[in-house]
Amino acid sequence: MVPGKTVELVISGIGGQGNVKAAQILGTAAVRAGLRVRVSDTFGISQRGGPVLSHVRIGAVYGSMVVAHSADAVVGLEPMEALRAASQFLKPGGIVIMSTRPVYPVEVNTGKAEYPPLSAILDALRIAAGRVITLDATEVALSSGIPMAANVVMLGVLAGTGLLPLGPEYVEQSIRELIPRSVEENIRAFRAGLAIGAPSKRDDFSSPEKMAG
Amino acid sequence: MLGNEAVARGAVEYNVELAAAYPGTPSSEIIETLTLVADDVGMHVQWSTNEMVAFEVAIGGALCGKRSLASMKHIGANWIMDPLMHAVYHGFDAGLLIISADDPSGHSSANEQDNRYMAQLAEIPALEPSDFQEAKDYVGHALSLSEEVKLPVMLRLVTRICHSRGDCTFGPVRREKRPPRFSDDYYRDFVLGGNIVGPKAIPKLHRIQHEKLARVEEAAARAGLFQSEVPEDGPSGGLGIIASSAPVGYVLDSLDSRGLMGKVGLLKLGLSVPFPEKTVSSFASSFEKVLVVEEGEPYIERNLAALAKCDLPGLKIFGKLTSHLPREGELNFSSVDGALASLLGLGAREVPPEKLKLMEVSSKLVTPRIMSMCAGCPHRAAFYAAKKATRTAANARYVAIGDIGCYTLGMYPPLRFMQDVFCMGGSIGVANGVAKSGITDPVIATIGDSTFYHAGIPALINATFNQANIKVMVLDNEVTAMTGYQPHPGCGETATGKPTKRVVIEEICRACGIEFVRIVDPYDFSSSVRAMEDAIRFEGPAVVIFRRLCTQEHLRRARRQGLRIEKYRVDPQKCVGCRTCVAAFGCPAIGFDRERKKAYVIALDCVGCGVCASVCPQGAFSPERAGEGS
Repeated sequence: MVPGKTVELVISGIGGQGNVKAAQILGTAAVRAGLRVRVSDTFGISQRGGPVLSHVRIGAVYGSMVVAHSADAVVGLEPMEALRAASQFLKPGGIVIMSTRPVYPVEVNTGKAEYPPLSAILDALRIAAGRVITLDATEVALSSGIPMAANVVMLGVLAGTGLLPLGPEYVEQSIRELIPRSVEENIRAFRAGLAIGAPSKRDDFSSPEKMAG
Repeated sequence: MLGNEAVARGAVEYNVELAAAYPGTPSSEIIETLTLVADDVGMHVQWSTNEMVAFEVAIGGALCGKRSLASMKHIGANWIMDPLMHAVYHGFDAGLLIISADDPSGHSSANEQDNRYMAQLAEIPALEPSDFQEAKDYVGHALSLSEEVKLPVMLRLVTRICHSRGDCTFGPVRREKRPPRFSDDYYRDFVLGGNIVGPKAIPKLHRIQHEKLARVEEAAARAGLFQSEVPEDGPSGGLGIIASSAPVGYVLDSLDSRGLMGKVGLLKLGLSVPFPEKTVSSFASSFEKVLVVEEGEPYIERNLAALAKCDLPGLKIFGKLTSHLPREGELNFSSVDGALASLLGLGAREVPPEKLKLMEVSSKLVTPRIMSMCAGCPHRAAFYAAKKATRTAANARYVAIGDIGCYTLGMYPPLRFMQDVFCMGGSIGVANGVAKSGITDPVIATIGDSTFYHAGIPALINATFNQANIKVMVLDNEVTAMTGYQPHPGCGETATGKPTKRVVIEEICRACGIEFVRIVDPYDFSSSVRAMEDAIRFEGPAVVIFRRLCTQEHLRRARRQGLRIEKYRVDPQKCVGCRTCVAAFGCPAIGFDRERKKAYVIALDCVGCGVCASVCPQGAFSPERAGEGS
């Protein structure tokens, strides 16, 4: 944790996965920690199913969108969306945290397009990333008793990497503030993520058969 | 806090007593936030039938001495032009605020219109906050300015202000209940004066408006809406920047990252309409070159060019018209930083080589993700049934026109139901014309419940009036879903959760003279198909109302009540791998295993609507039995 440092993050996923809520939790945590913060979301017209990007900038920043190729971390709630975001925003040497559970686009289900194999996504990410952490966040959330909290698990992993210029207690406080129901399950999901993100641990937390794609 | 929440906070701090709106992204959270505190602070807050009504409601409030506002998305503001062009000739004692949330790049919109031109057309002031603090504070400035010059004032926001979050320091809340007093000044001055209309009265009213407008720049300057910085030791590269709205942040980020903070001249315009000529002219006179950074059309840039022609003949102006900045789409750090670098003769930022490689590899792997309706969405079921009915009753030949709502997604694969889409209510209106053009195929209009109340009714009356043989599908999911589940006149509940009388769509249809009105549950597939077949075969305008609560709203209520949702499963013995469920119906809770050539249900996403069971030609879908697991 380096106080005063500027940290830029991109959270990518599909509508309904909780991107916007995750970004809001981080933003509120930063405000509570006394840091300047900017958060911005881009999403289309549908409530669910479209790609969503959330930008979080903590520190001495003005604009609310992360600059191309300067994100310290890309948090991907879905593999292909992780790659799409990392390609555009990740800083060389930055961290990618990716949930390995794919959500297939309509074109893939109709057989008109191929979903890239997870191994190819990982190889691509490693071209520019300094560290790639993979996990099935929904599985971790399920074992914490709340399958919908994959976004909170991912926040835990992010906080666990030590990248954030604020302590995990601020994130926990803001989870309690912003999630109305199943608070304890969410805190458990966050802490499970925290352990996964901790440095000097292995980085692949998804099971081998899932990795085969 | 969200930019829209900051605006709402401003409305509370600065004693707005009446706020009205029709929801529209990216503006909806302003009123949503106000509904939470309306009763506590004594503010009347409403969702209105449409933007025009919302603005007229706000006019009514201001006319009775209450500070009032109407908020809307940029396209929604098209609806208010008629009342606005009247309102500008009136004077109100209380502040009257129009909040226009513009959406450059059209993230959630059908166009990129820049409503500063609307303010220019109506000859009213427009303020442009550049961050979250200003989003709140400018509500106060706009209301004071409105009261000082007695004109409605526009607060022009953009998506990056509305839908971004940042820090904002609150001011004191000073609520004061002003006694309502209906002002009849206009009546006394102009009607009793015998000159409400006619060649003498109208130019006179127009002249008064111009006199009011002439006082705006000075008042805005007094309020601190123009902030300029001219470096003391000579400007770097003789360059000055004029910026407004969200891109001010990109300018500051760029200057900061290049160590140029305070070394390049910067004028931030918090008010851009009427164009503040004195302020701009005085700033620009210190520079040889000026870069204009603004969101939307080159409004400031064009006005500066016109001004410079007389006042500053040597000035070189750069921006969107000189291609230093992109003419379309929203700006960002890279576009602004690139323009600055090129004008200051500094190096452009190189993309790191490993990123070039990643981008190349990634472009071959990622596929586009087309938006789709949610799992269990009743609209998907309705479109699927309608499509089937066009095959059985019209040899699959039809023209379908849509408009604005979640159901617009019915245009996309795999449903591909509508062939064209227009504005709110445009489906029925345009279908009227298609039906009169000599097209012999069935002409279908698709419209949502909220959109029906908003803009569908006059066009439906027109169909009866002129006997247009159109088939209207009202996709009634009993809430304004796309913008965030706001209540509408059919919900029986107001914005602040108070019970009210329901306005019933089928009763309206019958009152509009429609003789064929059928109500179906879209989850009941065979009834839905039959209703559409009957409507198509009916001679004359017909309406089928597909009524079923929005799935997301249904799930929310089910969670609150602790109801268990029964999921569906695929019997692999029965599934023949025909892909009808994924490739034609397209429910996102159904996946397809390519190796086994079998469909499967994604249990986490399934909401148990059961429409897949009707869609599958093999009857392979059935509900899971309790205890059987997935």
